[in-house]
Amino acid sequence: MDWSKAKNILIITFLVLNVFMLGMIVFISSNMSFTDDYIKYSKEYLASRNIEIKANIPHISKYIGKVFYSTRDYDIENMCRIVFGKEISLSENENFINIVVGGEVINLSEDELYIKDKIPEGEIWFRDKNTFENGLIKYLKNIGFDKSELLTEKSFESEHMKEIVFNIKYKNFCVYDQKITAQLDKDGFLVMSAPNKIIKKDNGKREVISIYQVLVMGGLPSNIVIENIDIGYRRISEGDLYGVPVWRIKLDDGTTMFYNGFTGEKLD
Amino acid sequence: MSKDKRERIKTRILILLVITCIIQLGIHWNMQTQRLPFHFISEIFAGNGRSTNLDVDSLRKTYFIPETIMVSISSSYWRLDERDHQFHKIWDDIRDNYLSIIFRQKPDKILPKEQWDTITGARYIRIDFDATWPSNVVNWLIEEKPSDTKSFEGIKSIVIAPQLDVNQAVNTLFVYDGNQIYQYQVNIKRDALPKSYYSSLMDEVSFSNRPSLRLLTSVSNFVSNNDIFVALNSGKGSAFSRINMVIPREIVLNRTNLENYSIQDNILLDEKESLSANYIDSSGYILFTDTENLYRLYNDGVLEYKYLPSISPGQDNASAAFKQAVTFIEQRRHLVGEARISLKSIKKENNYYLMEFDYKLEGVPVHFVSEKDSMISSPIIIKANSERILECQWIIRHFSKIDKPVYYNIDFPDLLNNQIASSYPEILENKDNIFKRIEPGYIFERHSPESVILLPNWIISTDSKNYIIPLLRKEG
Repeated sequence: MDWSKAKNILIITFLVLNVFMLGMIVFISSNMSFTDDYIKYSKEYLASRNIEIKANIPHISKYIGKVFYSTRDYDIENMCRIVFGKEISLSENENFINIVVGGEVINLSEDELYIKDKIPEGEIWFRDKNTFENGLIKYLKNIGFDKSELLTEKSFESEHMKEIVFNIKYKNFCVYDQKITAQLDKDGFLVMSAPNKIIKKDNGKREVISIYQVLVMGGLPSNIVIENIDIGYRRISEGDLYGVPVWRIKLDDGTTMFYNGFTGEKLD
Repeated sequence: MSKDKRERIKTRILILLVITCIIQLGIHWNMQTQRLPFHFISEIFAGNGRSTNLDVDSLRKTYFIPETIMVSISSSYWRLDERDHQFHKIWDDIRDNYLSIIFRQKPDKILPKEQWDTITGARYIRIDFDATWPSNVVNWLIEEKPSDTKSFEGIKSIVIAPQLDVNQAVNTLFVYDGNQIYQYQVNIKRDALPKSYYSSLMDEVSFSNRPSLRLLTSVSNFVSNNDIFVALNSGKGSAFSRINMVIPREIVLNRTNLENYSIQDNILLDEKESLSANYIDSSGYILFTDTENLYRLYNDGVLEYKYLPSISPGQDNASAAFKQAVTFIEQRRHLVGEARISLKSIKKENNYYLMEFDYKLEGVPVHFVSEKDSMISSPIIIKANSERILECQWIIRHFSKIDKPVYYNIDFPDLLNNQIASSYPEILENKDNIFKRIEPGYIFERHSPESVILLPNWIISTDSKNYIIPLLRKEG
């Protein structure tokens, strides 16, 4: 027997088999497994109820894990230097703190970091929204947030105040209940609240329910326009250690609805 | 490139392709709803070893152990416990060479329990259990099929009375199940201990420097429904170690242990990824739950488990329920350190079995009280049916001996005349007391500090109160 030829045949056979199986894994893992028939039926059903979808349907992995909400490790000494411009002596092992110096405040509780800071270049920030946003991102970087985990959700400005809200991101997924809200007044006072949690490793991968199932079974009212659909993470109840994947549906009238990605249950 | 070199490269590519093919096959299998009876990839990469099948042989040696073996001549008794080599020699012989026979054999006589005192009034060796072990649990543990012969319902005590039959190839055993006494004449197996071992044991033990015991009711006016044995002359005393008791560091409730999955790994095992978790620092506990299971771990090391759906009846099978309970314990037993977990009681309730387990260290009980003035209860209480665990409350503690055992005075007259008379005279004055135990042991409370050193004490329990009196070191 010519072993060299046999090896060639085996290599080709296994190569084809490997490529085939890899393709199957990619196909099964994506949400494409949901049949075209069901998608067609869903669209017809939604159209019959006068539900218009103007949003793009995101393509996601079929299996997504839960995420762990861990306590964020802020460098308080560094934060004191940034906010108060000087070091403040802290007692050891102090998890939750409240420091007030003049009109400036750092308050760290179990869930939230609250800062009130007179920004030296605050009046410059106030002149222009982009300058404010860029300055704020640098400020957040100095207190421990990475630019890649910030996603601007909304901004608002009036004669006396400018506001920016960032959503925290984890691996390109929005974490809906982790927001940074920053308000700047025309005197340069920045009031900011940020989460005292950091999102860590995901685990317990489970099949995520298709958005088409949610749209059909989720009890949406008739005569609506869906402007945006995306998927992210959220905790179901207060004190939960894990966040689960949730579908977020935004209507054109500003209404936002959340659905548990594992069960399809509508969340408050 | 030489032909040899080319062939070697081809072989390596082929091996690589076969390996990737196997891995991808495993991934496909894992993604199937209808799986083969093995988890392909998880078998290779995962597995903390705690969910493996239980070995009946090791369970038999871990759980099916008597509380004491008493050797008696007339009204004098000598206690053998887990620290004595004779204890293990006798119990191994009875368990391996007699139990299987008496399960298959029809009893020679069935006697009323009132005759227990008569039977136990002569020279004998008596094996006592904390619990009355149901027959079908014992059958499962000794790997014997249940027999059709009418037999005892459980084993509470076994008495070996070698003097009752002069035939050296036959030994006499009495089994007490709490209701009746079953007498057996057993042909001694060839590889069993000879009858002469049991005949001479009484003399051997009585001449040793071991404390001689008497029944409490025979040497005092104290009243008891149990057989309580006390030492009138303890000789060199009895040796006990100091014990370091802590909440296992792996499950101390804090953010670090949650974030590094230590609590989840040690409590939830394979369910760690499917349960949601809820923890608020100020609440003092963490809750893990899904639609069927609820685990609650408190910051004082207490674990509660509840199966949430309404209870399915399950089969009336004590051994299956016991197996469920010990599986639950064994998967987490590494947390308790050097302590042994022993079955205290097993009772049939409506549609489940209620089982209580205690801690023991070197055969010495480590008692638990929920509050300082509470009565002694079991640190592990499990409700289970043949299908699953239904409820569990487990005071989880890690025990380790600190130093070499030290001899303590266990003379009952010294206890009575010195320590009780000075510290708790009401024990002597109250004639209505019914005593449940007077024994050396350790005791801890639910709200004891995270780390505590346990010292041996006299544990005196009446029907209404516990008295804890420190054991005194033996002088000299």
